[in-house]
Amino acid sequence: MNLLDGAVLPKDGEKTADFVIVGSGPAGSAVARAVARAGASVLVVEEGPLRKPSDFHADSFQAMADLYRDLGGSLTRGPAPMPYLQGRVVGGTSVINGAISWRLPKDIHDQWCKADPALTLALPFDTLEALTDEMERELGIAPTDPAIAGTHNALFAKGAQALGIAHRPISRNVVQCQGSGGCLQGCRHGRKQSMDLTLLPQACEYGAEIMFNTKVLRIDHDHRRARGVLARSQGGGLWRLQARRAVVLAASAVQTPCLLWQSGLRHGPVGEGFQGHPGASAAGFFREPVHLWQGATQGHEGIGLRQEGLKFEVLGMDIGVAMTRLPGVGQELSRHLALLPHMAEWGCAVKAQARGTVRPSLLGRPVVRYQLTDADMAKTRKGLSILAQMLLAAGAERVHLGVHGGPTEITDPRQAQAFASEGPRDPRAYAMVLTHLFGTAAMGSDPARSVVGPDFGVHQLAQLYVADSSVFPSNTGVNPQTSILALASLCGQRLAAAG
Amino acid sequence: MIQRWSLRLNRHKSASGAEVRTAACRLLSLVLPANQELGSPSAGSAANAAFWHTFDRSAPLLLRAGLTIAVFWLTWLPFLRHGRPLHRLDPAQQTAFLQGMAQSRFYVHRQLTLVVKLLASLALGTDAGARQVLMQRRP
Repeated sequence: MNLLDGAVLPKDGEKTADFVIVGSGPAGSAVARAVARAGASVLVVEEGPLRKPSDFHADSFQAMADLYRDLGGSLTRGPAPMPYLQGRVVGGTSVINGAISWRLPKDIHDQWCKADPALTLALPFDTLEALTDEMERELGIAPTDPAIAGTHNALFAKGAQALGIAHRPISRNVVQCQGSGGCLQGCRHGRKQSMDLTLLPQACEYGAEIMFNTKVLRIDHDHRRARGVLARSQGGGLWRLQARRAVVLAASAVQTPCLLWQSGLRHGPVGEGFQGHPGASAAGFFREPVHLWQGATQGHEGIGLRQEGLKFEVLGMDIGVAMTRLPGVGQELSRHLALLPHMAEWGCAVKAQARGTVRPSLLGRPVVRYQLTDADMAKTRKGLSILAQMLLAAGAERVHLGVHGGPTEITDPRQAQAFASEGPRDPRAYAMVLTHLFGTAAMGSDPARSVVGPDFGVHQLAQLYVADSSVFPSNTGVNPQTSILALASLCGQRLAAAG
Repeated sequence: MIQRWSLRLNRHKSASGAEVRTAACRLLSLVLPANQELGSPSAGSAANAAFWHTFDRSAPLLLRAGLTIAVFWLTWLPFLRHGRPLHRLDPAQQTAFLQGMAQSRFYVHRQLTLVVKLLASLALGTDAGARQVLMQRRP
């Protein structure tokens, strides 16, 4: 790969390319490859470090410190703050996610087009499907092989089957998975087809350059068109990165709107409409060993209630994180350590209605304000209730929800069922995590109600484009990586064709 | 003169930083003590210099501030009731206090306890010996 390490660049400098792309996650990588393949010169700028699979750590703390933004401790603001997880490494969140791959659901696409008919032409579903097909082939996306799925995933299938909830092995971008359960720490075997191992090296073969350990501070523009970006290398140099044809923002639904704000580009709902998929989880304790750190990290899912905005998944994890889900503190927690090998952890992702905002603080750090609605909490209670029933049906002797004011432990399916109606209403009673972030620079034809137009171009400024999940008009209810890849590829193809 | 004051300030800072660190390790050990039967160490002893170095380098300001507040609050709140800080209580009182905080009706108490429990778990997860023991053990 053509690499430039910002850590060894103490002096100021300048570089020029046809396209300057901010962010090296799925969106940035897809655009970079598309435009580089068409012969354009490309510079991808990434804030995080470059890591090889052999650099990844087995334990979650070291992995989070090295690969996650803020040690995984970025928090939303609001009455019930919750962490949101983002990768900060070359390859972005694709390096540290569970590799779950979902096509953009047709019903979600229809909703977008119904709300803004201009999107029917701008994002033709057939074209997105064709691009998704291409990605599925290239990234080896296939259902999880039962041979490596492991007990944790097999029990999930058993529980979902018993409850009559449609379920299936998760399609993932992993080739010859060894079932080592380390997706969330970065795959040390290099089997996950994350962007650092796939699209980015391909883009580099076409001549793209990756400047990592370099943080983009703002977009350089003259109020009519974008000229490039101003960036700070980790070594301390100030770099003026000029774009002959366009600047493409692909820095995530949190960082992209902040960059727009910090660059004085605040026309339209910049940073508004923030959406995500808050997730809650249930721990079940089985008589037989489960070893939730073995097998496919996230190998099986329950999809029967997707239309209601609920999706269920296995949550494999390292023991460092798993221990936090054991009940109690002090001597009680210490005693429960013996239960770790027998614990299963399953989660539900909620397609929340809540909409938040993203703005930079005075110090330039993103401030995400987000508060779940009553309807979101009702879905969460239902999701946890179903997870508890599934765990019991799969053979768990008891289930621990970790909800303040809820039952300490659940041993009876009727108790689990009752949680949906009787569980606490207050979001502060729950320990939830927010993933899959969308909508902060939404696409649309009306500049008053959207930030980018149907061509991915920012309404306010020529030659500035947004290609990440910020442009999604709403959350999708499913894991977005493949949808992001499809939309960003479309964006890249159009930029390449624009000449 | 300014340099001298600056040196004194830095010395004071590192001294108070070391005290906070010692108190944090003590608290982590109380939240996740050693399990003699399994042979796992306490979270406090697993949180070695390398752990804190990584924490200091990577944790956002909010998390670092949260830990400092949690250490101070959880250590000294028992003083109001028992006239002694947490680490000077007998084990039964310590357990009762920590359980009370984890289940407190005050959200802040629960969150502070959760921050310490999270760090204790992550710290123990960095200990190679503890990992081996915990991953293979059967109850």
